[in-house]
Amino acid sequence: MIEAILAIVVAASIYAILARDLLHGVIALSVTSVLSASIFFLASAPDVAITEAAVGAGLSTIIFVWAIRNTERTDRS
Amino acid sequence: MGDTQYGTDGPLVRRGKLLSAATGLAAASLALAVLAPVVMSDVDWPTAARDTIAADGYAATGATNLVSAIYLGYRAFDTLGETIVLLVALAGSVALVASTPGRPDLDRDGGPADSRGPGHTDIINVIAGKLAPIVLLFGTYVMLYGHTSPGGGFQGGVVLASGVIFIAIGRRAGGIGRISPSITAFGPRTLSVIEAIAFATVLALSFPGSGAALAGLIEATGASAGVAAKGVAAVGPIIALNIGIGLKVGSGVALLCVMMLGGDQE
Repeated sequence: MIEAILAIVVAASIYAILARDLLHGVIALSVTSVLSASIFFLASAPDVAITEAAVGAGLSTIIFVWAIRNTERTDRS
Repeated sequence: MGDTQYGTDGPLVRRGKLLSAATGLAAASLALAVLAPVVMSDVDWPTAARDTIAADGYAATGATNLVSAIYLGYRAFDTLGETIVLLVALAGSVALVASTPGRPDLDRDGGPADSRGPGHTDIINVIAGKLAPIVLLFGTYVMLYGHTSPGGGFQGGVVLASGVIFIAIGRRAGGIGRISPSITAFGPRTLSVIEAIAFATVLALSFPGSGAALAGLIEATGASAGVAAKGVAAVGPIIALNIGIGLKVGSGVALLCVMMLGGDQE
């Protein structure tokens, strides 16, 4: 179960790096955080899971979206 | 990496990509070489610290949640350091956000721009109006019950900040719970005051002996009221630290996000 979730985490991270549309990359990062939080819960670490879910999927995504909103939405390279 | 002055392709860029790939591979193999003998060995993990804390944790700190007992009791100075780091990071970020030149008016990309505020849709109205109080309540619960169930100061504080962000997204122009013409319940000024008071509380509790003083005060108050408060008194400093850290983290992060959403320009 944890291995399957880890495989999805790796796939989402690779997509976050290679995405042309930065908003899609930010959503992929958010997916990574949510899946990491579920892995922490499956590994019997509920405190870390709560923190990772709230910070990674919530605040980090908000800050990234605000940064994209103030700059550009496409990756020029 | 691609859009350099040498164009997006060419020998220099290709060599740069090759170098990046080789460095990444070297870093990964170094990490594997360090971790593999530790993870795959047959030697038992050392259990002295785990057994000590599992045996004495509840008696020494009064907290059933041993994670809270560790980072608020046995290793509370680490937590103080983390709180200070968070304060500095938030101060720097708030300064950066406040100095962003000409923050965009929030209806730039075609949201329904009316006097109701930033980009109101029906989904946002429902989320902000109906879910925000529930999220705030849940954040307070997670913060206060950190000593018996998973949670604590940091976790509850971040959930509280999420609740305040809901309110900041869905506010009417000039809203955020206006109490009087110059005070708003979730505005930047109120949040900074709450953050300062909470951080001062955490600092006051980290002086050597203040935790024991607080426990003695709770016990004496209970004795004068005729209530045996021994068990409650032992965990009093942990609950106080949880509340202080939770309010500090929550209001600090909420302040940063409220400023990003333009809450200080009303």
